[in-house]
Amino acid sequence: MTIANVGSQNPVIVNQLLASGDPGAEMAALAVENGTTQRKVASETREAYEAEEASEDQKEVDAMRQKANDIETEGWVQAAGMAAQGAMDVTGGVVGLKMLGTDSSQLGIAKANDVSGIFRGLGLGASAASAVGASGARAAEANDDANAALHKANADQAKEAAEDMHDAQQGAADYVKAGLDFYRDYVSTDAQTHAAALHKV
Amino acid sequence: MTTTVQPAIPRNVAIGGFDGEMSALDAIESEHRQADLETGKTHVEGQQRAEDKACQDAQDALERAEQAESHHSFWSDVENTLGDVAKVAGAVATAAMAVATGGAAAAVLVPLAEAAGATAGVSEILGAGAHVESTHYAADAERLSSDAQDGTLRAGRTETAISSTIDDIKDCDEAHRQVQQAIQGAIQTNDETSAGIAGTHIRG
Repeated sequence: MTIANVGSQNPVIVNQLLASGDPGAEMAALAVENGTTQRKVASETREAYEAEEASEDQKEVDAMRQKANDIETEGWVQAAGMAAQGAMDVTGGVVGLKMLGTDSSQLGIAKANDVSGIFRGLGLGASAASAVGASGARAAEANDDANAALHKANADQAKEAAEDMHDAQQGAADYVKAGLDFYRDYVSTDAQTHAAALHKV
Repeated sequence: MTTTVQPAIPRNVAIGGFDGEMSALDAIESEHRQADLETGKTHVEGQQRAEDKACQDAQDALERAEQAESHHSFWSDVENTLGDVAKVAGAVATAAMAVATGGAAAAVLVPLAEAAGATAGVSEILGAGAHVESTHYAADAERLSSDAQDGTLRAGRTETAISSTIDDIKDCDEAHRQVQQAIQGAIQTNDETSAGIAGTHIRG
């Protein structure tokens, strides 16, 4: 229960006061009714902003998790290229050595050199292809960082708006309090006036 | 914040006359005030536990992220070392091949070049394995950082919610206090009015 609920929980009383014909009571009832409505609107808006903040926070965390997945993908792609290049280098070396074992003439050396060179070239090709794939994954990581930053900014904005609505809610509660204070003073003054009149009699 | 439903008539309250009815109302209000304070306190305690848990989750995730970061650093060093070995072996292979094609020591240098090339290849394969491990731990560190961020954000939101609940409790208590003040004012005014009427009768 909050002070504004004085109005929302007792609409009948507020309506009776509004229709009482007593200007002080009507003014107080109006203040309570307005304050209650303002507070309700501010409260609902604040809840909406808080929900938005939570949603943006989640999106920021999701973007960070997506970045982790992209880092892993980049690792596999680049490792595949490195492994392919290594495998080609090993194959080229072994094949070259075998060829030299069977033919160590000048022509044999040249052939072995050419064959191992072809394998090394294939390895470099595979490595270059994987580098392209890995740079794609790195671009995705940068995109994830940008997404996370965007959602963080949105969450901060929603948080600020929710805080503003919290202040508005407090303001509305103060308005209701002022209405109630006014009515209490009004009734007290009225009673004192009547008492003074009785004394005169 | 929800209110607790209270009994219409409080305990130990005698009803009789205007003052008696007002006193009964005052007692009801007092019980409501106390009940709302208790409800609010329980609510805040629950939120406080949720905040503590979120902070603890964030702290745990941060510690594990630091461990993953240290594993990543180790495997990254291994990968770099293997990369350096591959580069040196590759350079030896290239240099030996260049000398071998132009010189008479080709019979020795060409096999050396092929062996160096194969060594570079093995280093690259091992380096690829180290790269997989290194990026796996880097991804783990990022994932755990996101968990830590999740915990921190949850804790922040819960702290805001606690602050709002405390404001609500204060408002609610203030409302009860005002109502009680109004009731007590009404009793006082009634007493003064009655005394005034009695005085008028005596003078009359």
